[in-house]
Amino acid sequence: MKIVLKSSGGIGGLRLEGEVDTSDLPSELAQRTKQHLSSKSLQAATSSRRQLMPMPDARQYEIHLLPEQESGSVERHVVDDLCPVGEVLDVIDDLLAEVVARRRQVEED
Amino acid sequence: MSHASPCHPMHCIMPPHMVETVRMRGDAKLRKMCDTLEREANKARLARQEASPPTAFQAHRRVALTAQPSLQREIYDAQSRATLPGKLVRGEGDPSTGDSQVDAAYDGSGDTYKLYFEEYQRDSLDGNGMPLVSSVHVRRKFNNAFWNGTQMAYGDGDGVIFKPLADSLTVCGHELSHGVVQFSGGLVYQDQSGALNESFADVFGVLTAQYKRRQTAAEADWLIGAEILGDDINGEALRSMKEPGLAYDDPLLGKDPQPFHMDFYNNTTSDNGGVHINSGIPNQAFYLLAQYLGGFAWEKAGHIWYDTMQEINNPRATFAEWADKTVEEARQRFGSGSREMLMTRRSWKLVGIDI
Repeated sequence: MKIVLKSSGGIGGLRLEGEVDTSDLPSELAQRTKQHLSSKSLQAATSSRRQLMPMPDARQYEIHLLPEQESGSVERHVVDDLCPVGEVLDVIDDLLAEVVARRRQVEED
Repeated sequence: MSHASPCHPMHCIMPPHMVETVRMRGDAKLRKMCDTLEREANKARLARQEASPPTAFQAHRRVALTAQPSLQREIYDAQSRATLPGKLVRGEGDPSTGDSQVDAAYDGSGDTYKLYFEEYQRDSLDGNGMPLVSSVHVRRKFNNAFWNGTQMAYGDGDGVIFKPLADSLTVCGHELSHGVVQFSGGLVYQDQSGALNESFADVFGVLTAQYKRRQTAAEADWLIGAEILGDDINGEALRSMKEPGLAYDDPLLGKDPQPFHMDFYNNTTSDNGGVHINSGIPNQAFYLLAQYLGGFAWEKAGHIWYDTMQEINNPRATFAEWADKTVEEARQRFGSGSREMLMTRRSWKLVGIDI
């Protein structure tokens, strides 16, 4: 499962973007990613609340689920810090930490 | 515990931005309710105008002038979860807990309350003694702090980009000031009105710190979030009101994108139309005004900005409309042709907004 994660906004207005492949993640995080960032889970998370007016300093997260096969299409979901499903936000936080750690590693190399 | 507005829709006027929010969120029934509310609001507004001069937003200030401070803080530990508020760990008057984030949020809320009450005679965010609710330890490695409409939420940071966010008094003051904006008629969090919302929060975030430290405009650093950037980040803060665009330049974060002049206004769809980017322009205007006027920035420049927020009654205000109102408020407070009024106009001119 491949995902492109884009984060923007927040008090710092910072943009952060990275691609993750669950096969490269620690197994526990990979499992949670597959469970909570699946198409079905994200649809449930975003449909449980209609798109609200943005709240001050809430971060937005774009989650692009890349297709398994070349003929497939990219699925895009957007959540923010007010997403009611905590597990989705937990996985996003952990994946962004992975993205930051890898960037740091590349810089050091 | 409920922190819902004490106003029943039948007995009060919902601020226009809230009506707009509900209209966008709601189904056909809610949209119909919004139409009714708007009609009722217009009727009430007309009745008020007939009965008294158009100074409705000053009511809270007048009430607070005679009121005793009613500071009521509640700090919760979210215990690394996303669900708010979490477990209550410190209430008003309780001793320090030993948890630095809990105590920083408690102190930061108190310092912000003090500025608004003592200098602007505003009793809490809603002008009516609303409890100041904060949650710390929100989520895991959470690189953010935000105001969700009823309370503040602070993450611990990931230790790389950010350290714990409640450690910064300017961040606390910033988040609480979003509440002040909300209860002052609001500024829609999109494009220029959203950037004004951000800028107001930055202005009163730095004023909170300056007030506590008794710093003059010349002595202050005019930085937002100087305490929270990770140790290896090449930068001094999240934003600089003195030098927008120069707060950081780092391989991980990129370069601070804030403009200081309308010539560099950033047209973007991300970040709600660049609300954290273009706020650099009104931030710079406030900084220039504070420098021109000298002394403590909360005394003159702060009052001009605060009065503007109370009186503008335009949730979709553009920079030019806001600037125009600041000059009008400077005229009202300090007199026509006063130095304060002329310097307000000049500050806006220097960032590319001619009034």
